[in-house]
Amino acid sequence: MRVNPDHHSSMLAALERVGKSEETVLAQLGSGRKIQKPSDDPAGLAALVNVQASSARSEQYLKNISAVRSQMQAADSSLSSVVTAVERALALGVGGANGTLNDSGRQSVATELEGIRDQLLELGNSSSQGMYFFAGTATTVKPFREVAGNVIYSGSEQGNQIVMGEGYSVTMNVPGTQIFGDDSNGIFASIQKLADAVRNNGDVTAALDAVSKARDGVSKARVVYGNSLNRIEGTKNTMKERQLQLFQQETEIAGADLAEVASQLSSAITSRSALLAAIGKADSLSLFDYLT
Amino acid sequence: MSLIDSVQIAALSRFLDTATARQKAVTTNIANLDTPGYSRQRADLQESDAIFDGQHMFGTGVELDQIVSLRDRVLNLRIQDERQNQGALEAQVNSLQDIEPLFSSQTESLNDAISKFFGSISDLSTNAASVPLRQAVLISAEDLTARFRSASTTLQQRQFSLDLDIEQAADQVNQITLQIAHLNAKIAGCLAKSSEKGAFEDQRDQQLEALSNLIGNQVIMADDGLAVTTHDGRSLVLGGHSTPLTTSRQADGSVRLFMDGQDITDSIVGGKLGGLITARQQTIPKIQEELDTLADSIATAVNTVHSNGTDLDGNPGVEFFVAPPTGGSGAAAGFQVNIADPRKIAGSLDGSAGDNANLNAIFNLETQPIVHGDTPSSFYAKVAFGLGSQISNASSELAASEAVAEQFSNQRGAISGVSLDEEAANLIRYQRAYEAAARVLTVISDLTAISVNLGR
Repeated sequence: MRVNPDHHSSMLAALERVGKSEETVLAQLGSGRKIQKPSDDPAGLAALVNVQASSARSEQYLKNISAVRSQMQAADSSLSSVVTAVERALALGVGGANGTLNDSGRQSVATELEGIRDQLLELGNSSSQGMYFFAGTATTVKPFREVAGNVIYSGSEQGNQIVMGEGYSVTMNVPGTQIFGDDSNGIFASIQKLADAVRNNGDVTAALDAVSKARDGVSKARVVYGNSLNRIEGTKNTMKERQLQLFQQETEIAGADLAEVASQLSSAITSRSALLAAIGKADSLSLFDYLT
Repeated sequence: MSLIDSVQIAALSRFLDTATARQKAVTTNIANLDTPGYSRQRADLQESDAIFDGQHMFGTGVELDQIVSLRDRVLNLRIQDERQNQGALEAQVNSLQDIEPLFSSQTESLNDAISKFFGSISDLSTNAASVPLRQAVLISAEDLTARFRSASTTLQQRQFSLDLDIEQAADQVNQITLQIAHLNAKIAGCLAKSSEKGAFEDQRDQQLEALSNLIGNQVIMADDGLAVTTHDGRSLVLGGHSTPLTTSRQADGSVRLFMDGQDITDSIVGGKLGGLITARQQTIPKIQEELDTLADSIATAVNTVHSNGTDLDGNPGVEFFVAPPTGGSGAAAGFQVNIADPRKIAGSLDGSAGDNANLNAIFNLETQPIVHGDTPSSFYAKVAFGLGSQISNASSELAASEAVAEQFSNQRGAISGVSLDEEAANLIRYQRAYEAAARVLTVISDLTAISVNLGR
C-alpha cells in the first residue's frame, strides 16, 4: 500500500498536541490549581463552587463569633464591675444597719450608696460602637435613665440572636431587666431604698434583702454570659476545624498535584524534542540525492 | 517485410511522444508538490492496435490513453463530512470559551459576590443599628448587582459578535458556492480525458472542503455535474448555478438566514454556521436565562423578607432590590439596588432600631432553596457545570474529529499525494526507456547505412 508521502502535516499535528499539553501543564504549575475554568473539570468546578460557598459561610460565622465575643466580653466585664459595686453597697448597708453610726455617719453612707447607684447606672448604660449592651434589641436607646429620682428602663424586652452556625445562634444584647431587675424592685430601686433607709434610719434589713436579691439576679445573668462565652469559644473551634476541612476539600478538588504535573511537563518536553529531532531527520533523505 | 518500415518508425516516435507525456506528468507533480488540494497525475498508456500483414500480427507500440488525477471521491466526501463536524464544534468551542471566565471558580465570580452580599447582611446583624455596616451592605449589594449586569452585558456582546460572525460566514458561503458553480461549468466544458479537468476538479474539491467547514451540506455527484444541498435538501449549487444565502436583522438585532425568501436559520446544522447558530440561538440565551432566574430569585426572595421588617426609623421595609420584571426575563441586566439610604435597610422585626431578627432571616436565605429548588450557590454551580461540560464535551469531540480528519487526510495523501522518491524513480525509468528508444533508432540508422553501402 502506498503511504502518505507528506508526513509533515501529521508531525505538525503531533507537535501541536504536545504544545497543548505543555500549555495545560504550565498553567497548572503557575496557578497551583488544576481547575481554572469550568471546562477543565465541570463536575469538579461545581463541587468547588459548593465548597467555596460553605467555606464563605463558615468564614462569616467566624466573623460573627469574633464580633459577638468581643461585645460579650465587654458586657461581662461591665457586669463584673456591677457585682463588685453591689457587694460594696451591701457591705455599706450592713455597716449602716448595726446602729453604731450617728446621723452624719448615716448621711455619708447614704450618699456613698447613691454614688454607687449612679455608678451602676453608668455601667447599665455601657456601650461600644454606639450599641448599648443591656438594651435588648433597642441597641440605640440608652436603656436606663433617671426620671424624677427613679431609674426607668426604656430598652426592649428581647435580645438579638447572632447566628454562629447552621441553625445555631447565641443571644447578644440581653435585655437590661433580665440583669438588673424591673423598675420597682430592681437593683437601682433597691439600692435607692437602702440609701433612703440608712439615711432615715428605717428598715435597713429589709432593704438589704432586696439588694441581695437583685445581686443574685446579676450573678445569674453573669453565669448566662459565661456559658454563652464558653459556647462561643467551642463553636469557634468547631468552625475553624470545619474551615480546615473545607480547605482540604478545596485542595483535593482543585489543587494541582505538583509532583505529577512536573513529571507531565518533563514527559511533554521529552516528546517535543523527540518529535523535533524526527521532523529534522525525516526529510533529509531523497532519491534525488542519489541521481547523478 | 523489410528491415525498416514506416510502422516501426511511427511506433518509435509514438513511444517518444508518450515518454514526453509521462515526463510532463512528473514535472507537473513535482511542481505541485506543495499545492494544497493537488492530486498527483499519472499518464495512462495503452498498447496501440496491432496490425496483421496477412500472416502475422505485429505490435505497433504504445499510445497515450489519458492523463488522470488520482483521487478517491468517496474519501473526499468523508473528509468533507468530517469538516462539517469540525467547523461546528470549533465555532461552538470558540464562542463559549469567551463567556467561560464568567463562571470561573476564582474570586470576582458571581458566586463570590452572592456570598459577600449575604455576609455583609450577617455582619450587620452583629450591630444592626450601625450605619457604617449598613453602608457596607449597600456597597456589597451594589457590587452584586453590578456583577450580574456586567455578566449579562458580556453575554449580549458575545451575541452581537456572533451575529456579525454569522453574517460573515454566510458571505463566505455565497462566495464559495459561486466558485463551485463556476468550476462546475468549466468542468462540464472540458474534454473527458484532459489534464485540465483534473486541475479544476482539484480546485472544486478544495472549495467543497472549505464549504463544508462553513455549512453542513450534502454533495450529489451526477454524470452531468455536481449538486450541493443543505441537509434539509435546499439547493446551494446545482450545476453552474448557485443560490445565495441572505441575512436579515430582526428587531432585537439578531440575525436570521434566508434562502429564496424562506427562513432557514433553524434548519442549518453542521459547519461553522451551524455551530455559530447553536451558540447564538441556544447556548448563550440559555445561560442568559439562567442568570435571569438567579437574579430574579435572589431579588424576589430578599424583597419579600425585607418588606416584613422595619427600618432604622421604624418605617416598614420597602423593596431592597428594584422589583425584577415579571417572568424574570431581563432580570440580570436590570438588577439594581432599590434603596440608597442605609437607614432604609429593614433589619428589625420588633420595631426596635437595633433588632437584627429580619437580617438573620435574610442571611438565612443564602442556604434556602430559593432558586427553582436550589440554593443560590448550588444553582450557580449547576449553570457553571452545564457550560463547562458543554465546552469540554465539544472540545473532546473536536479532538476526536481532528484525529479522524488527520487519518482521512493521510489516506488521501496516500492516494493523491506527490512522492518525490516515486517521481525520481519514474524519472529514471522514463529516461532509460527514452535512451533505449533512441538507441533503437541509432541501430536502425546504422543498419540502414550498412545496407545502403552494400551495393557499392
